[in-house]
Amino acid sequence: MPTICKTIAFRRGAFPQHPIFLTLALLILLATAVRRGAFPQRPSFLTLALLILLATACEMNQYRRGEEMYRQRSFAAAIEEFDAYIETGNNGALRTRAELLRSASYRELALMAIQRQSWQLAIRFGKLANSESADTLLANVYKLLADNSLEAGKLSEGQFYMNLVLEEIPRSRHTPAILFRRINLAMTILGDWNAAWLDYKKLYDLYPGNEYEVQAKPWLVSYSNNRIEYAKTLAETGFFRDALTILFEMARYPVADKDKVHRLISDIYQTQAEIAIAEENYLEADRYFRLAVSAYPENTLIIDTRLSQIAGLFIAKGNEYLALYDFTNARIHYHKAFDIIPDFPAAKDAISRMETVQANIQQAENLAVQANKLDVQKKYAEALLLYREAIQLHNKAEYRQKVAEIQNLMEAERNPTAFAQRIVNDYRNGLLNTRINNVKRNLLVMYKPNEIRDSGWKIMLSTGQYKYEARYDILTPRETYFYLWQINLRDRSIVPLNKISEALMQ
Amino acid sequence: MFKASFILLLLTTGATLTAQQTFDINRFSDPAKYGWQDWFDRINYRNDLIERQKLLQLYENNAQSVNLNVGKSALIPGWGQYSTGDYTKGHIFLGTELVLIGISAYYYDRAMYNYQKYLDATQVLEIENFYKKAQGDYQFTLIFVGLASLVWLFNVYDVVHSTEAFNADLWQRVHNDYYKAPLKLTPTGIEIRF
Repeated sequence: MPTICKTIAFRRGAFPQHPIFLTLALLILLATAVRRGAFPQRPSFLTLALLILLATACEMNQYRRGEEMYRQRSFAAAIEEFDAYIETGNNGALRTRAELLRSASYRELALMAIQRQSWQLAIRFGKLANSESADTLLANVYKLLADNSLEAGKLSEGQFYMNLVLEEIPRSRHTPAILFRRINLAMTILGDWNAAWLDYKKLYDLYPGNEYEVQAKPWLVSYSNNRIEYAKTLAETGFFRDALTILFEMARYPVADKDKVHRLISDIYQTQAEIAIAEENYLEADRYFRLAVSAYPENTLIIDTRLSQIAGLFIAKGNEYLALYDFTNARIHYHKAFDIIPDFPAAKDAISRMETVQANIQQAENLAVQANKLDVQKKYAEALLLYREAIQLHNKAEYRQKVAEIQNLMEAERNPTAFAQRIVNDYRNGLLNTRINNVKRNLLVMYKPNEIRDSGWKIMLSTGQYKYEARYDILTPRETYFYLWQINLRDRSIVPLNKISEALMQ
Repeated sequence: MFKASFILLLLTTGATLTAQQTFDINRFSDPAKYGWQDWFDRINYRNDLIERQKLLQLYENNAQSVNLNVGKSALIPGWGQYSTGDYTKGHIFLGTELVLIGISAYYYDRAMYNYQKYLDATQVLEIENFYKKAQGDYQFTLIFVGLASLVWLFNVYDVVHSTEAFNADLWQRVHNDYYKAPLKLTPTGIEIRF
């Protein structure tokens, strides 16, 4: 092969190109010529000088020399010229052209090396050519060397050349065949199923439907089934992400039963959703359910039902807040139901119901304000009516208490003594009367009836508005019982005013 | 002196042209000799070269021919320089050439006048006097023609450099415009730079 490049004859000389040098040299020549009278007699001197000038002045000459050598198929010399020009040339366009022609020259040298079966040199020149067409040559050489090595039983060498094709010329026309060959080697000789799978993935990604891909597909079916089983085991032990990674990978390639894989993916998402429900993380559950549907749309009905249930859980939670009149949280939970099922009718109804409750409460408050004003003006009948309306809208303890108070006041206005007596009589289902009668019954054991003096109930006005005193005296020759209570007509409360009265109430 | 200068010139040229170098095939075919250490380096270089190759057409449309400019300057000194936009040089070459040719024409006219006088002279002293004058003027004519030729030669030499400098600048402009352009048409689509 060295003979190919022996045509390199010379390197570019350092001929002075600067105009000053040339001008000086020519001036010396011309002056001598003129002095000696040579000039008129030798007109060819001018032509010679002009030729020397033009030959040395033009920077392009070196590039042109390279071109000329390329045309004459003196590729090595052309490369030397181009290298020199690329190094020193000022014109980027010419440098670019020189680089292109240099690349073509290396490619030609690579071709010559291939013809002489000088493979290593062909590889080196192919790399130096550094072009698409040179890559094709390189790929051919690598494949040939790989084939030769494998035929000779040199497995690692063969693998080395196959790897070179895949790494250096990944879009080569030999790539599918080489990937197929590597899959075959990995499965039959090396037993490296993962390597085979990686190569198959590359083969399918780059050349789906290619004859080699179709041939390799059945080899990977059992591998894919094993991977799916492994993914199932992972999912069962809670490694959902790892399981999904495997299953999604399997779903991408035509070696596995896609329906089965998608169903498994959907199942894993559903499992994750159920876990999220158990943790009351409903939004996360909803996300998983949606993923489950997208993975396997046949599960839509089941998942929709489950989603409705989750949305129902949000509404139930909202209802709990509504019962506590926590409208903010109730609304938040109702709206979460919409996140799961947009325009969920049950959530809409719940929100409508909540808004009605809110409006009723507001209206009841307004009525209570009006009733309170009437209460102050002692228009008890009208106030009572408004409070009752308010209770209809919002059954609030405060309103109920107000109603009772107003009723008491009305009674008190009508006949306070009788009302006070009735309060005493009604107190704890007539407890006071019963116990006073018991006291009297006990006294009758010890005293004769005429010895016992019973004052009966005496209702008297007490200090404070709507406050009365109820008095009951029992006198015997040796014992006296003076019972005394204060009665508040407004709220029907009875307060004992002495120890004996307090004891009677207990 | 003439012989010595000419031999020196030939020796210098010959020595440089015949310089030999031992050919080393390993060095010549070293895949890393252009600084490409691996596949990525090669791909980067290739992509850059492809990008530059796209600009060549643009360059060709506006580049000036060295031969054409040499022809122009050979015909009218300074014309080629005007074409490359180098007006100062154009003015200098054209002006110098006109002055030198004008002076040489003046001396030639005087030489011819004295030569005619010499032909017409009948006395020995006049014959010698006019002959010397005619010869002196003719020598001046030759000197100025020589200088004009030298300027013309240098003008031709210079136009080659001017044209190459123009073309080198043109490439630089094309290159800069392309790489600084906000909108670029690439093989994969339209590329917009912000």
